[in-house]
Amino acid sequence: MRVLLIDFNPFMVAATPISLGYLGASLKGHGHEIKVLSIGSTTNFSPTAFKGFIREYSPDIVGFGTYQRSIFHINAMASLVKEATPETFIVLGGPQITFLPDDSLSVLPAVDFLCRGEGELITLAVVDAILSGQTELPVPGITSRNPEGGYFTGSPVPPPKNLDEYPSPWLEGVLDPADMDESIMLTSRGCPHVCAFCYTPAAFGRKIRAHSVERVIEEIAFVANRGSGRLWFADPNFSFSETRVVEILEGIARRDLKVDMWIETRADMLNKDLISLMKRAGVNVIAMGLESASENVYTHLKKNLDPDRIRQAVEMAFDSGLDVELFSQYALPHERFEDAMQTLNFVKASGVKIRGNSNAQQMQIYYGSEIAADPAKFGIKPLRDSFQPCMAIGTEFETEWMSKDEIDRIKAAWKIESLDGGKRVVA
Amino acid sequence: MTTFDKAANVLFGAASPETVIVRLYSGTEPEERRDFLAQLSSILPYLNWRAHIYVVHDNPADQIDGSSEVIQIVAQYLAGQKLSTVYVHPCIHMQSSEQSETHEWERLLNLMQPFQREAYDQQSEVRMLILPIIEPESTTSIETILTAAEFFRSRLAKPSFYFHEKSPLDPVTVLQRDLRVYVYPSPDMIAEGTITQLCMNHIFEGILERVEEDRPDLFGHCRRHIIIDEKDTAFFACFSQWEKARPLESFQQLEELPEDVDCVSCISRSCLSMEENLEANAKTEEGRQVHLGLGIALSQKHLHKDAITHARKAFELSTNDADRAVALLHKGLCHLSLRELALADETLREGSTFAIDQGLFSYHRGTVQFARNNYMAAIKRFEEALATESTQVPKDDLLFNLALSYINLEEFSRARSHFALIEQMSAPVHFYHGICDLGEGMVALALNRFNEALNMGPAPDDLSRIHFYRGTCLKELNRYDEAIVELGRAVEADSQDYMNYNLLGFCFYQVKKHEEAIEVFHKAIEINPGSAIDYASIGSNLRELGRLEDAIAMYKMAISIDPTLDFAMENIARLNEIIEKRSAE
Repeated sequence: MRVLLIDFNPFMVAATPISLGYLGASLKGHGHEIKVLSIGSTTNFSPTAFKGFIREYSPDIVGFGTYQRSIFHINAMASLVKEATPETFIVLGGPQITFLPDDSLSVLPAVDFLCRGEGELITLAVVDAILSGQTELPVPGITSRNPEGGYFTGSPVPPPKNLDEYPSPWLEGVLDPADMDESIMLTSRGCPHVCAFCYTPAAFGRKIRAHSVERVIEEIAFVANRGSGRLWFADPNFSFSETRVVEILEGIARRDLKVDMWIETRADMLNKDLISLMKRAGVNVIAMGLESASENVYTHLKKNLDPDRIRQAVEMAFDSGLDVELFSQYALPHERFEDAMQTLNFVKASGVKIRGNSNAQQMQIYYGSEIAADPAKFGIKPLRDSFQPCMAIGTEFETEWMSKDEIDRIKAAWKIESLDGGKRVVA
Repeated sequence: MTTFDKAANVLFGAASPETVIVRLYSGTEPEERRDFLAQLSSILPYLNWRAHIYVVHDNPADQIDGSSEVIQIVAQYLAGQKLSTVYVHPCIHMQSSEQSETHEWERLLNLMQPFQREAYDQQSEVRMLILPIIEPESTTSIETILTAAEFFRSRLAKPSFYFHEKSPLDPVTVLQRDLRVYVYPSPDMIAEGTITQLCMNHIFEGILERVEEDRPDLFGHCRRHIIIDEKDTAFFACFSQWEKARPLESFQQLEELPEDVDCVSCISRSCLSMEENLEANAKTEEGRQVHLGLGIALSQKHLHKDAITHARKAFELSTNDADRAVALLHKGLCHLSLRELALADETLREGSTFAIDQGLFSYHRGTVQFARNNYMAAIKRFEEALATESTQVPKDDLLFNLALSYINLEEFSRARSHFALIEQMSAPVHFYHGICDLGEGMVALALNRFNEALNMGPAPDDLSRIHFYRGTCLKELNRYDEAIVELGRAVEADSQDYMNYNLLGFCFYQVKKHEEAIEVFHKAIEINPGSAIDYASIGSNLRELGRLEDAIAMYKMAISIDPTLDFAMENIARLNEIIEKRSAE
């Protein structure tokens, strides 16, 4: 079966489609023909050219990695696919798709399947259903339309406990680092913390599943030797286990791999020795979640992290010659305008350059997070009476503590302080 | 950009234009206008999925109507689309008071209402946004301009402003109100001026994007910006072609850009013309980045003079010492490449006053002194650089240059001590190490070093020199036959190096192959006709062959070039004696 996997981010330049790479590796391992495309804001194509390509490639399935803010762009793209090859099945996947209401399909006419959970196994189930002609029956892990005008949702597909069961997109040749400026790595999934605004624990579980150290080092060595050596780790908490991260970093250092790494981790997982080892191994940038520097706010986020601890971690990183990025948000629960300014001033005082990922963004409310489940409980006041079924509140809200006007003002305040006009890389 | 993005671009065919500048004229007959708009309509499906259409009219009185006609064409196209966003930018003249014009503006903006409603209600990804470029009269007050800005902004039509000579708006206001300002450095209100501004701003932004993404193709063509002139429905593939009034024969020709398009010059010129725009939009930092990026890219193309111009601009736009240091470092290196050594040294000296880390500046000032053959001064700078322990300085290169300076002073043991500290051995390191050995008379050791250099796979340009010095060593060891083989390889690697022939001729002489010696000395003279020693050497070989008169002629030739060649004089005297003696007998 011929499967085309498309990562389409209309808001940023194209990046390594690591998640689709995993799906591709899984499908390839089962003998299917796959092609992975990453399309970004600067990818140049006309709708006419895109349809021409689809007609020529003629895929049986097109899978899209989807986020809420790109969902209608992807629906439009799916429509182009259907215009070009009406018999092609369209699947949407991605962590935010897992939590979409079933009737989202009512506003996504070009979409056939919503993938609920990790796509590596579920996509195989879709392929099986298509091959056996059973697409009008429930498919495990999938929501689809039923012949009665309603929806099926197949039984959940539990992900494997051992992440190494998923074949590597790098080692299997699905993604090729040779021509990439930067390669994204994903060595673990899940997060044990329960930040109210985040859907990661719901999507991937609170127990972290990680690739073995051997697998990680093998992937890093492959990517470093074949590509530019610039690695960007998408793990929510790269250093969740000090033992593991030390083994990985020492493995990199021991093999003398020439890498330039970006990692994201919690400030309370860092210490001087670890930072020093990171530097030796080739980490150049550490990104940490600050969210808010105001006590009025962070205590309500369930992040359990004091800004002083973050300040110390920033200083330690700077002392070791590392660059630091801080993720911050505004319009958080309990946050007044003054609190938001306190966060901006904290970042300025920390010496972190306000650019790229250190540009703050308005909190985004997506299905799967605790806030999305009960916005009123967190003082969220949506700006619309109703939303399309596939749309959570996103950024269309004000709060009990901050009006829309104040949110716009804090956004402008960050933009003025920004060195790059406020272009954030990680959403 | 990743592979996948590149792959996507390839898979989806030729570059789809992202910007179309439509030039309209007053007095166009309705039928002609219809035909022109039909042509415009036919290219819309081939535009990028996000495209900008600018409408420039030569008569302010017709701008709204002309723009409306284009907008309607775009609207008709979009009605049948799934994924397209077109931003239409009508250029609109604004009188001193906007009051009388708001209903006209409203009429224009109403054309996008259906799309905004559709987009909001259905979350459609087919969008048309009208983002006007307002050209106020010079007497228009700032308050009126800002009121007009608010008028458009409140209708989701974020405006830009087009001023002549200077922007009346404070850059901070522009930034805070998220405005965009174009500044045309002339009071003339002509459509060509507007097109020039639009093009150069687009070119600048394209380059900024490439610089920010650290892309290597800074000078790639920008045929994603096309110009369509209503007069004769002329398509221009890019700004440069429009300036030269060279239209395409058809839109399809866009896939093959004419070969004579000079993108480097167009990009450089456009970005250098952005000064007023950068200042007016508080974009000096972006300007610095672009000029620095262009400077580096131009010097990589060996266009050092142009690179200096951009480096100077980057320096002028720098707001901190670190950026000033970087700009001057680059400028200094360009001067060095142009062998403008005094300027290079002065620029690097100035740059060092802004730098916290002096290492790189000391190192490059050392290379300037080296280029001046002032090896003592070079050593001083290189030692300074070494003492800084700067991580920015390529240490092996520094040690290599330091050693080379000592070689030029014939201080071979010092040179050798620096070579010993180099971590990454290379063919040049082995080669110059060999030169040190040879200089100190350790010929066998030198020969081994040259062998090492050869084994490391030297650059093709270095091959001849390595064979030459291997030949020199063999000659010194009196292994002339082997030297001849080696020097033959040197000649093969570089048939224009006079020294190769000279030494080869000497070796032939030593093994009494005088005919061969004469032949290669003649080749040496072909390359270096002023070489007295080679004439004399031919003379000596002729002498050995018994051709005494011919030998005397050659010695005389040598003396005529270099009267200090005593051995030639002596030979002439001696051979004349022999000839006379023979005559007497």
